[in-house]
Amino acid sequence: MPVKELARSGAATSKKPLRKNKFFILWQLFWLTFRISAVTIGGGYAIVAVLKRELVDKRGWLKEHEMLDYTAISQSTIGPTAVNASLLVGQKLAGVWGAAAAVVGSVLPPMIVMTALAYFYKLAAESALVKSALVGMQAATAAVIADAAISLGASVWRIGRVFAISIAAIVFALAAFTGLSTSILILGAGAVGLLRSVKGSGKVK
Amino acid sequence: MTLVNLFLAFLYVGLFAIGGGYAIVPLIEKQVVERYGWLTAAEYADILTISQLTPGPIALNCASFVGARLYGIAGSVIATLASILPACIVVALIAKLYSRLHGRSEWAGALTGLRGATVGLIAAASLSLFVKSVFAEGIATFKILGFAVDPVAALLFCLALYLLRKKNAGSITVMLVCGAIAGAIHLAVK
Repeated sequence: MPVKELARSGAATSKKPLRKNKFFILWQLFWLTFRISAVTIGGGYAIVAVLKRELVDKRGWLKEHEMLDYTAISQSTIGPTAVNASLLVGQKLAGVWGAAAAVVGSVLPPMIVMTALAYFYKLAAESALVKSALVGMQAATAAVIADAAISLGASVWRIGRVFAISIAAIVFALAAFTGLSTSILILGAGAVGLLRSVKGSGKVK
Repeated sequence: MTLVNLFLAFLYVGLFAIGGGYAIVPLIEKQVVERYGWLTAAEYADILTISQLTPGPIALNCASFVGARLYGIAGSVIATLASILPACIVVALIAKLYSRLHGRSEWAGALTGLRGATVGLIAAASLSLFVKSVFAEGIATFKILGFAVDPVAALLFCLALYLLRKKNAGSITVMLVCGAIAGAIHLAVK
């Protein structure tokens, strides 16, 4: 098998390949989710956007459509999106232990910060300098999420053309301007897609 | 005994926290303020403010904060664990189901819908965070027609988008750089 030989000879694939060593993979997952979780302010989508950039664009460990599916799953089930998405990514890349490493990495930073703040939170909440720096980080986070929306939008166009983009536009409008819950929007869109492929000629791929 | 209560209260939060974000704020308040009286309403409001400024999901932030208040580090760990446990189990099961359904054609249609919806939601999240950082009291605020506008935040947004899309910069670096610039401008203006 030529593929196996290629792997054995250690030929460098594009970007940074996943190393064979299990502990190295787990460490990478932990360290990545730890760093992402530590600096990403702005909710679950921010984490998803950064994960997408780091794992899909920079490292090539995941495909764009996988990241989209994981986001949909993370959003429509119980629990924080950030934790759910880390778990799914970890499980995909390194099984149960990968899931554990990624979840621990994503949970630790907020836990450490909030535990510390439980003792002296008034100080941090009232510092104008801290507030300004955080507004700057927030603006950057909005850009990271916008960047993800743009490239994932292109990927959705390749998958589902007009249908998928229309769904995206409708959901965007509903989410931005009405109070509909995200689980309802996601499940509704899934149901519409299901109906369409059951009724139609099945050419959706 | 109360350590068990702490675990159960946040297990409940983790079990019923669907959709995340601000949808679950009243759910947590009911447990932490009304049912057990671990925090006052004012303290809870403070946590919400802090949660906006610190990393991490709001449910986890509340869990760590309350746990640490009551039992120090052990309390923080237990409350955090309880709040993510239900989600971890459910999501792991769904991941199994997902890989099993993957080859079926109806499922492909549903996935197309789901993926479209996800892109829409991500775009909406970006817009709301943009509005929150630009149209609010921030680094250097101006009043235009009664609205607070922060041009520095708007410029940082553009700079970040440029670095990400044209220079292929790392997202973590971009966020830290923008935070540092905002801090420096704050010091210069003041």
